[in-house]
Amino acid sequence: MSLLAYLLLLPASVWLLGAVFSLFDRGDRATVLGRIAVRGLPFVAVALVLGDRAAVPALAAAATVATAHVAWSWLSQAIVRRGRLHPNED
Amino acid sequence: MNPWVVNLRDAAAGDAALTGGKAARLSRLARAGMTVPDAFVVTSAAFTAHFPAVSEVPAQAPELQPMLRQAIGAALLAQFPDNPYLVVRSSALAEDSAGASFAGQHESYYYVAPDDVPDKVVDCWLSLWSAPARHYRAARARDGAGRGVDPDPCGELAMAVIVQRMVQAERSGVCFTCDPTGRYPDHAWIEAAWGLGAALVDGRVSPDRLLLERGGTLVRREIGRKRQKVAATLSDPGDLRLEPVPLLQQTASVLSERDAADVLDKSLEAEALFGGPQDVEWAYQGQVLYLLQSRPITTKGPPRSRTPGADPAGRGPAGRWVLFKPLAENFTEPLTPMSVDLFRRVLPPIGRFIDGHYYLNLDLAARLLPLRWRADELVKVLLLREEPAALQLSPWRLPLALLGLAGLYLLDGVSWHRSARVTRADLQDYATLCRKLLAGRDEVPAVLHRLVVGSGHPFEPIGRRAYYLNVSAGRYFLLLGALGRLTARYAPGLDPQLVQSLCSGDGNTSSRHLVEGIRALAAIARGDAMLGEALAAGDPTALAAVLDELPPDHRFARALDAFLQRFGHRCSKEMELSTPRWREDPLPLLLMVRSYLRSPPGPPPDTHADYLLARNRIREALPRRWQQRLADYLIERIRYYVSLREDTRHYHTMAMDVVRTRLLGVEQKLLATRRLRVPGDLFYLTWDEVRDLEQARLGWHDVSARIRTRRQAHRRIAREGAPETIGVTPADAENVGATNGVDNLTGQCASPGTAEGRARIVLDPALAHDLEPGDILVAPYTDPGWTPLFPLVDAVIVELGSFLSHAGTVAREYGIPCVVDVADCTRTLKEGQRIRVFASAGRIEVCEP
Repeated sequence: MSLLAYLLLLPASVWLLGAVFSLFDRGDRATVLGRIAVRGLPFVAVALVLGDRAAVPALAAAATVATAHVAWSWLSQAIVRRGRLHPNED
Repeated sequence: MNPWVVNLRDAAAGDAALTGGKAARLSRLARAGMTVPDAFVVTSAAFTAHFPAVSEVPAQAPELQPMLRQAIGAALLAQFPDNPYLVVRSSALAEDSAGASFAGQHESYYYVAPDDVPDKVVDCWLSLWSAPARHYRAARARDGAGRGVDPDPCGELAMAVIVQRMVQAERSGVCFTCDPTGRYPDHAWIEAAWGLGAALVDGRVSPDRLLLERGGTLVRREIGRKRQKVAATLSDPGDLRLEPVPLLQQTASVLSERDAADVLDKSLEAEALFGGPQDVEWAYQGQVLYLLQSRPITTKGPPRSRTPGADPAGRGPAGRWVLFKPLAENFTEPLTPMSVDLFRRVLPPIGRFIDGHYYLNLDLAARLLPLRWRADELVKVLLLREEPAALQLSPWRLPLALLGLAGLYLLDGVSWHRSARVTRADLQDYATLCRKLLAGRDEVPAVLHRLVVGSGHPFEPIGRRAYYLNVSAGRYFLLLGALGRLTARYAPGLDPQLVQSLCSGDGNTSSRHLVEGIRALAAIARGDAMLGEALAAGDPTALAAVLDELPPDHRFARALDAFLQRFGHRCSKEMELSTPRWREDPLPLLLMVRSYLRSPPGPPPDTHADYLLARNRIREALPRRWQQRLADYLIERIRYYVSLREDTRHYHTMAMDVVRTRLLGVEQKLLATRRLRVPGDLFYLTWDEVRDLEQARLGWHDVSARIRTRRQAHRRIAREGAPETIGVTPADAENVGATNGVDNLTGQCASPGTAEGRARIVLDPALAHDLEPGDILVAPYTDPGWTPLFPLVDAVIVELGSFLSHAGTVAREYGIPCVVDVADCTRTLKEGQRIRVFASAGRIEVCEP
């Protein structure tokens, strides 16, 4: 069940963190907080079903997405910066 | 007869084995009575005597034998007793043959004093082993061997040298006695520029281009912006003789209709003499027309598709490639090598640059997409020409594709969601970043990388991440498809054009502000008699003088300054780094102000009212409440993303401005240290070469030949146009968007509506002087630099583009019909011809021949 919750919460985490990271942008803060609240609803739903057991898969899903996002940001930049994509062109 | 030096008018000079292809042909022209400058030829026999082993690169320049030195001296004395400037030109034995032109591969020297002729003869000989010439010979040999025709098309390796009186040309150019691209049978092209022809042949100027029937009738005239010329007199012996063309002359026509007919007449005489189509170099000194060279036309091929290796030099990548429309529609000319080198570092690996144009990798796309489309179907979809009839999913590739999508969502989904609601304040961050990088010390590729891809820091504000903003804005196309399917399913009676009419911006886009800014400048000029007269008179020199004399606190000066502060980074062809921005060269902008002054456009349309009307009609047509709410959401998002697309373009072109400014800074240093000699040459180098110049690992003599070869190649590719596909020729690709008879042209609807008016063919927005209401703009492409022309016309027809194009977005915003992807419309339609545009059907009808 925890694994299923984890897999379900992976896309929900992407959706939620998209709003959380928007706090670094120039949009209206109150609107962004409202969006975070709405996007937290899948987590609330899983918590209502699983109770305490939802904590681990929820935290794991959020951590997975955050780690993947940060790692990908750095990695993709490094690849482009080193010119690995178009080594020899006319 | 001296075997080493012969007069050009002697019969012996017509022997190509002795004097080389160029000299032999010139000799035939001279002996046929045509006006050819006086000359003598140092024959290939002299070359052979000095270079017994030609297969190896000589270790050092040979000492000229006394007999040859004496013969040259005697010829100089006999033919040029008045001590004029001379031209010393190479004439290799294989040069100007039907198999290989060797255009620009060997050296020629201008403004040579008679005393320097012997040294320049040796320099010409040595250019036979220059890197470009060796590369050219190797490519020709490879090409010939690959096709099994002639393994050595370059013939014997030897060179004669022509020593010729220099024509002090005020006007010069090239005449092609038939269209080298094959598009216009029975027509000839003339290219013309100010000053000597070297600037044109080396690709340093955008010449006037005249299309004539072979009978001599002028069919069309394309005026180029001729910013510089090679002076007829030598002011600075150490310089390259390039000088700026006065403002008034830059956009003036070089040849009258009568002069053009004379040039064609003489060129056709040369064609008759040699028995085939010719590429003739000509020059006017006063009213005397000289022929300087005549060579057979060697390049000819259809532009719409190409097979790999079909390039005359044997180049071309393997694989299958399709022109990337979203980039291609911004310009028809190829990017310069510097732009290609920098952009390739930041573009995703889904394609590559070929001859200055970006192509998608068709094989990669076929592998990535979980579909069972044939190559020709995929080509049409990638060219944004039509939707496929059915998706035809591939069952074994679908799970892999879905898995890949899920992985991509996991890695990049956070940024994807974050970029869904970018505010205009977010975009201001981009301007801030540009200012910071402009003042910084980062290397140019790093600056472009930072401005296009971002820093890679996950907390970086989304407004600074151009890549995501562009992807984000493109979402409107998906949402538009969703809205179309919703209405088609639940409101089948609804006019599909109604959905398309929603795809205009919110009326507050940067394009709209730009047009309003020009309108305001025209209004101020109208209120100032002297300024209004200078603008309306159409004399750029007088206009520049009036502007210079304006006090800084003059209303127009202040308004222009404010406009340039905001829009000074814009221009036409703004993706090309070598293009001057309006801030550097405001003449194109002022010419647009003049157009507004002459024919004030009507007030901006109230597209908001149209939008509300369309939205309400869609809502009323949908029966269920959830459908209405979904339609409302989609419509709101579509409008938002369309506006974002226009606005991001405004901000992201700042990146091009920053990179250009930094490049110009580097160029200034290289010019000051004489490692570069001509402004603008830097754009024909790669960044690594520029760095080598900066660090003195390369010098001017190492790069000058490369620059010239690349300029010539750039000019050739620009003239021939880019093929839409390489390595794949879909069965019906030739027919898509093509002319349907002489009376009808077809394309894609980008903005619905109907209009009738005069066709006004505009190839450069800066030269569109006299557009009037009732005109229909016919253009090869449009980018934001063209936006100010839209309110002046009743409809727009564009050669390139798709529904996603800038042309369509702006036309929808101004409520004018627009048809895009109309192949060859700038060539098929005639200036002033009356035409009718049925944009909704994507059809153009010619009302009068």
